[in-house]
Amino acid sequence: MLSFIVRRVIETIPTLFIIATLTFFMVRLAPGGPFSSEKNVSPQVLRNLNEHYGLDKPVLAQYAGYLKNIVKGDLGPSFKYPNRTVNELIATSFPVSLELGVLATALALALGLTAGIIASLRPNSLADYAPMTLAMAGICIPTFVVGPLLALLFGLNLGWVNVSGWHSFPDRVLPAITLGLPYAAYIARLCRSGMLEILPQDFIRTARAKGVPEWKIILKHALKGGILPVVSFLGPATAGIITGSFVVETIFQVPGLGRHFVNAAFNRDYTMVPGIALFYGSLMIVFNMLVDIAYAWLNPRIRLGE
Amino acid sequence: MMKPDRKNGTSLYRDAVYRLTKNRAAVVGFFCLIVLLVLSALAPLIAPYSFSAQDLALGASPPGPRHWLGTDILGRDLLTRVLYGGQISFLVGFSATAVSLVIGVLYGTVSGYCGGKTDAAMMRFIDIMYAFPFTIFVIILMVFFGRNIVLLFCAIGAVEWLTMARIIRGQVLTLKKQEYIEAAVAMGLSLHKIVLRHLIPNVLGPIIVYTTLTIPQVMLLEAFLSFLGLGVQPPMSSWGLLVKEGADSMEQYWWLLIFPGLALSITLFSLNFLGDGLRDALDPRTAKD
Amino acid sequence: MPLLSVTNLSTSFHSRRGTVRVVNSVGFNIDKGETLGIAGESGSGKSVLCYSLTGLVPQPPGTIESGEALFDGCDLLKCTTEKLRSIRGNRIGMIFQDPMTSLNPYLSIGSQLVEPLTIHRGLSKKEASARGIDALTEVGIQDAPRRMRQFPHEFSGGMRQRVMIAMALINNPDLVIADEPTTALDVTVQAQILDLIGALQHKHNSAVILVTHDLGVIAGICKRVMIMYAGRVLESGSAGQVLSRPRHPYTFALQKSMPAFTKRGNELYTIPGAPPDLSREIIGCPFAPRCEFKIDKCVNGPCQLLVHKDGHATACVRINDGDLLLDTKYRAGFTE
Repeated sequence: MLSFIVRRVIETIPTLFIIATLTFFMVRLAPGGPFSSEKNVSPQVLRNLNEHYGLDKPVLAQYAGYLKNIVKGDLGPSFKYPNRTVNELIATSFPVSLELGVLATALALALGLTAGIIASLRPNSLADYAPMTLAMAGICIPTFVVGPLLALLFGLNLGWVNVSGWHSFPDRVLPAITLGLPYAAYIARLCRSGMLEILPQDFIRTARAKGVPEWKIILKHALKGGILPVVSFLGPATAGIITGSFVVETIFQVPGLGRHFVNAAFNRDYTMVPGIALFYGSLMIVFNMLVDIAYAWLNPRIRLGE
Repeated sequence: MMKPDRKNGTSLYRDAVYRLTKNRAAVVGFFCLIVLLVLSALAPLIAPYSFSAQDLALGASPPGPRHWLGTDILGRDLLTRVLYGGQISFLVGFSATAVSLVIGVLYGTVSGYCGGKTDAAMMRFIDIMYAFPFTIFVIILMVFFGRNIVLLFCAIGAVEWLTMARIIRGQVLTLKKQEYIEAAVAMGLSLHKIVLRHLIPNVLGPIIVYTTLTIPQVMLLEAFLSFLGLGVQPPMSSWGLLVKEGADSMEQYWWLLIFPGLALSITLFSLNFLGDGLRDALDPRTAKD
Repeated sequence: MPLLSVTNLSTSFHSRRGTVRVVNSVGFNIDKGETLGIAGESGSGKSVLCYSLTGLVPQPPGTIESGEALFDGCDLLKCTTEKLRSIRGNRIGMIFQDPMTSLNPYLSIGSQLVEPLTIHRGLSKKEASARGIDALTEVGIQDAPRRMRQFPHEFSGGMRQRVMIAMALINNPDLVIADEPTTALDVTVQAQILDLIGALQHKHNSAVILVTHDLGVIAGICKRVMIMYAGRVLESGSAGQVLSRPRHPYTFALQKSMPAFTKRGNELYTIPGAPPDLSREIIGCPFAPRCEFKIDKCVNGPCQLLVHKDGHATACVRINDGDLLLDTKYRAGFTE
């Protein structure tokens, strides 16, 4: 277990290195610079700015310095937000995104697993078709259509919740639903097909022969194998929820990291873009690792690290 | 259901077509898709107004007899814009899928066929790529290198090929053990001939299914980028961009959000139902009874 | 009073091609501590018979058409699912054919093994675990405490079947239904498993219904035997009666086709033809089309199980009418 984690962490180093390198050079190769949008800057000020951020040095020297700082965990100062470092910006806005992501994932799991299990118990009946059609709708109606529609209906017409901001709990409801729905839909479909694989198996009959109550057969004997496809989906889903939050945070004006990233890209923030990309990269690696551990825990035939 | 007396090689596909036509959702999806495709393709001929014709005096008007789907703030006919937007959305959907198809099929076939260390290395690379925050790179690419539509195809295609490569490799690995491939090797056929004549025709089923399911993902990704303002550039327009414009003004002009959203959703529905139907039809094991 | 008394049990499966009557008017009794063997080839309905008794026939597509199965005063076919559930795994234990698929690969052996204890006896986890270790030791699994924590894939086929047996017997059931318990195992393990079932049955004084297609297995441990074909009982009686002096041409043919009953050097006998299509109504004897003694009344006349004075029952019309005797004249070519 421990050796598995250590090995995985070591394996992530090249990935992170590639991310850092690619983003670093992509940002610098692109036309325009971080200060090009600020029109009324005198050449002297511009030179000072460049000198302050080390942009006057050769690119390779900048790159070496950047890598050195990264190893120390320092993602550098932000170009667009003077006096603030990328680390600080991530530290203040990531908790918001994390909360949104956790709420959305919890919702997706609760909704998706329930719908998937119900559908699998009576395949090809109304109890199967109804949730599965809804799930298809959840996959096909994009977040950025659902979000504004929900905002229009519950925020503006019914006035139940605010459509923007992130102050009290009701503010979190619509963004979490919008972000979670498509994943609930995927999870429902995966859970249904997983359960349909397990339920006709001999060992379910054995459980019945032992007199295990039906609810316990579903939740203890079938679900552990039936949710394996869902668990392997959670890795890519994390990536999806991260990028999905770009849109949701834009729609509902949530002060999270996703919005920062889009803004940073538009503003050619030379440190913010690679910094956030690296952060997201590490996050995805950590989640994929957690998913692998969870998978091995659920499926005793899988041994970690093989 | 399957008649045992069929002998010729096309019977598998004939059976598949038969199973597909019995799947109502897939048939409906297929026809919806055809209708939307034809309408978009014929946009220059059938659109009631010119794409960029503005009617500032009219401004945004709700759906009515003159403008069936209403007009936007600049008085442009929404039906016309949805039809033209469909062209771009489909173009991106099909082209980017084609890019991912080419990369994925080549990569997967070579990896599966070569096997051994080459295969292990190539699959390891895919594993590493899976952990890569690709969407983030597409965003960076689009921001920094301009919203060029060709770049968009390539960027999206480069994201979507991984799963395709994995599926193809799995197929090739199982096929490789079949005797007719060994026979072809024994007869001294060259590598590229074996790949082209034997492997690719046999992995066609999964390719068709996965392609059908990739197109909606790609269209969704394009719409997502357009929504963030990173997709196609105005005055060009795609459904994603129209949805974005609609979402910005939905408080007053609901139709600007609803109709492009509907067009996009119906297309995604159709493609997904068709893809599910194809999978059930081409893979008899998963088919219902 | 018998422990289980089954009368006129019929089970059907419905599909788009029609209704298939898999079990057809079957009846039998089994006393406490007795061993009943049910033999027949695949598709003869012997497994479905067992599943019908314990409510394990999936409904739909299956239906129990008729019958009564009195177990300690309770009709298993008509009582509530909740009542039936409280009997399964508690007073009736079941052992299945394939130990490779009958154990849940996602749960530890221990947690599966002790489930009947926690469900039916309300034992705490700790008490149940102690009893589980005893049960594993009893079926001959060494190092039981460690084995409890392992998963099915860490056990061999024979070991898994031992676990299944321990699980079926853990609540000292009055009746154990073993559905082809040795079919999926190596020949060398088969005898061990049968001995184990016999020994535990003796120790716990349980009745056993042993389903098998292997007459040799039945000869070894069963007191009474029932031969099934096309969902019906063709012959029943004590093991000695049925196996040494069969009164039905089918049993006779089955014996002839066993290697052990064939003289060295003679070609092994095979029964011609195939079992009938059960989706069609069968008039007369179901075995008639394949029977070497068939005459007109076998095909057209009624065919019923008749109990003779010595308790040996047969459904062969010719034997019941006294115009056929399966004596030594027909045994030429094989020895007992």
